[in-house]
Amino acid sequence: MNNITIYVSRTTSDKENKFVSYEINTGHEEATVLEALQTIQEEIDPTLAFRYGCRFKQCGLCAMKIDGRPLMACMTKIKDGMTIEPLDKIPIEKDVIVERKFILEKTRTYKLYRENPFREKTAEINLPYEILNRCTDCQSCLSLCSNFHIEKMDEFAGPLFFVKLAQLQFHPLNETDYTQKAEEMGVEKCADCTCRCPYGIPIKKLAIEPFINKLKEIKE
Amino acid sequence: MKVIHKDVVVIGSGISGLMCSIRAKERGLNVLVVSKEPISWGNTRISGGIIASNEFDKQLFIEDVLNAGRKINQFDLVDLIINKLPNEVETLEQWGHTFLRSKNEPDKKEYVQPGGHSEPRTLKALNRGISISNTLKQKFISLDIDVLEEVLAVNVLVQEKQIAGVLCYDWKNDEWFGVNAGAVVLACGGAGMIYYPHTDNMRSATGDGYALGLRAGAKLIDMEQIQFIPFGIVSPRGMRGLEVGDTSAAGPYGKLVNQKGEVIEDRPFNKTREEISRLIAIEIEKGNGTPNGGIWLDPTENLEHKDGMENWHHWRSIGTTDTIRNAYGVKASKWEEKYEVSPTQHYVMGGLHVNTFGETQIQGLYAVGENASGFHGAGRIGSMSLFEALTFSAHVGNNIRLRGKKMTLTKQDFINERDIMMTAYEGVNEAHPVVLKKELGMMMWQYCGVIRSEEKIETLLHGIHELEESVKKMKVNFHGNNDFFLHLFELESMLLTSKAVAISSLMRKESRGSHYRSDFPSENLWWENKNIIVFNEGDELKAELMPNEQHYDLRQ
Repeated sequence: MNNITIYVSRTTSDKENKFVSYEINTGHEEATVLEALQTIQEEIDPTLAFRYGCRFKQCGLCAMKIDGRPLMACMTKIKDGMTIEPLDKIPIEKDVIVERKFILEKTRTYKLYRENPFREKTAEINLPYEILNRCTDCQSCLSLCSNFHIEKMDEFAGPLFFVKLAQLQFHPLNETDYTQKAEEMGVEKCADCTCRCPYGIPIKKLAIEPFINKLKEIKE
Repeated sequence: MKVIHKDVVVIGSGISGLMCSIRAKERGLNVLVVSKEPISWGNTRISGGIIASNEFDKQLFIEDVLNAGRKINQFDLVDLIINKLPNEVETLEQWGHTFLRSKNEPDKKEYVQPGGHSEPRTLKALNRGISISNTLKQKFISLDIDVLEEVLAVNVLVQEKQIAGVLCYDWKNDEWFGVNAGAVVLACGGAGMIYYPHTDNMRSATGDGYALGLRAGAKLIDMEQIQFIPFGIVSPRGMRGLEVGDTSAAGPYGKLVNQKGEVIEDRPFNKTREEISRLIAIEIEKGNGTPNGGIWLDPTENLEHKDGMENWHHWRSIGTTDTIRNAYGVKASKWEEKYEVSPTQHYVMGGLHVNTFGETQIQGLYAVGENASGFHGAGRIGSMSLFEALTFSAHVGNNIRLRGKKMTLTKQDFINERDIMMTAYEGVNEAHPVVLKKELGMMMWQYCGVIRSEEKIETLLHGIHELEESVKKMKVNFHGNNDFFLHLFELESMLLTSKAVAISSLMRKESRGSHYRSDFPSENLWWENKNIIVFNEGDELKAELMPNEQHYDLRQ
């Protein structure tokens, strides 16, 4: 059998998070972090709170900090001694769940949507757009961004929102330039971005540099 | 308690909830969307994103749908959605979604022909369902539609058989909301979780819409018709139930083999989802399954043929081979070796019985998408759920009528409703809802899954009754982050939905479409134009027969 001990960050009655250790039997070698959390919930402590949705990395709900790195719990193998925490930088709701509601609110305030429908025509799908379109809003990039502060989002939006803006910019039928908006959202702070995306989106290359380069052109 | 006044309240935010609320808002109505998950996190988001279009031969299309539905479809809905409603897939592209183009002619959209369709009329999405979901969400945000995000719609309130409002609960902040509404739309999606882990649905698919509708006095129809897609992942445990395609995912040369090495189906490719799911389930029940509880799908012969390889490319383009790779490795994902499959719950054809405006028996209470029923009948072919949901929910949003008589619930009315909720649970918890949900899922799969019988269903009903008794004894503390209540609410939705499935399955003493009774293994002519209706009477769930009087002649 596969008996392991893992450490999960739990919210105490004082609204602080502390590690609690759990000894579990994962049953098989391929078990994921999500399965381990489900095992704890079903067999040891049903009050453990975590988000998940699809179990195959499609929905983006189960991102958490696993051994110090933001990863999707459903696609990460569980190992003895692992630590499981909520994502950094985003307010904790309970245990390993962080807030999400601000994403919709901010998308609305930044107006990250197309204001007019496209004129009817077809265009070939470009690779940057296809890759940017893989974003699931998992929030991993926000948790890694050194410039991101949730209480100062009016000054700096954060990588997730630059990806959304780049989706608009690189849409095969787009004719609007969103560079000005990128500047207003603080994209220039990200020249040294080191964020990593669990879905492999090269955020710096596709969602930051194109805007920064264009801003340089405009300013010269 | 905060009391809000709205024209329309839409509960749920998948393809149907978003599309319906967009259309209603565009007409100038004051719309609120209540969603227990973040906006747009429904099954639409994780779907393959394939969607049919009604721009080709409509008569042929209708025949395909009726054929799959085994003649218990509501013909007025089929006729409306295919013949009369506009082609909304174009709308999705105008709002930013992209359908894949043909390789040879990049200007033209590429149409494919999933199993059960008589001609290519299905479009494939760039980046699967998430692109459809995000496109609708973007449109939704641009219209500034009000939301209660991550909030439960706990009860739909009715007065004199007319809709009055919705009682909502923000379980994260222990806050209640009363919403007065001229119309309420149920768009909560399906109920895959009643079979967990044997489902490919999102965690949130707990049948909330069916339960809200039943409690409000509306009727369900065809609840015995639950679709099991034949090819689901068997192992590892964490991926159990995830969908890896319907029959055509075997490729034209794939075959099914049992643990003894015997070929049990030479060419599943052109068979229906129902036939192959049943065949696999029977073989497993006979004891001929793999130790993990599956059957071998051997697709390797496809690699020797051009059309076999083309088929593999199709499944790769919609992301199915990624799921195979994650579960069984690279070789299986390239069809270079066999892998284990078992049927998995995919879709609920049953749901709220609605007219051609989506209205239920309660004036002002509507249902759309997987919450509504009648279009698919006893079986659904591929790419039809997104098509039906998008087309019909747009139509419902375009035509929704606010209930006639003005009825305003006062703050005290809502407080009274809340107090009924809060005092209902004052016992001692013997088990947590999370644990009971799992027990229910195992029971439903075993006793009311692909193979059903009177004996099995009686056992199931007994089990459901015991779970109901445990729920009655629950104790809820209403303060702070109350996710206990979320799980309890979902468990109760699942129990009511399961019971509706069970009593409908017991009543239909034949096998038709997705409903298979081992004690009545064949289709019976007597049942051809009959539907089963489920409703709440007193505190009892009742099933009764409804003759389907919508005669139709395919040769018209």
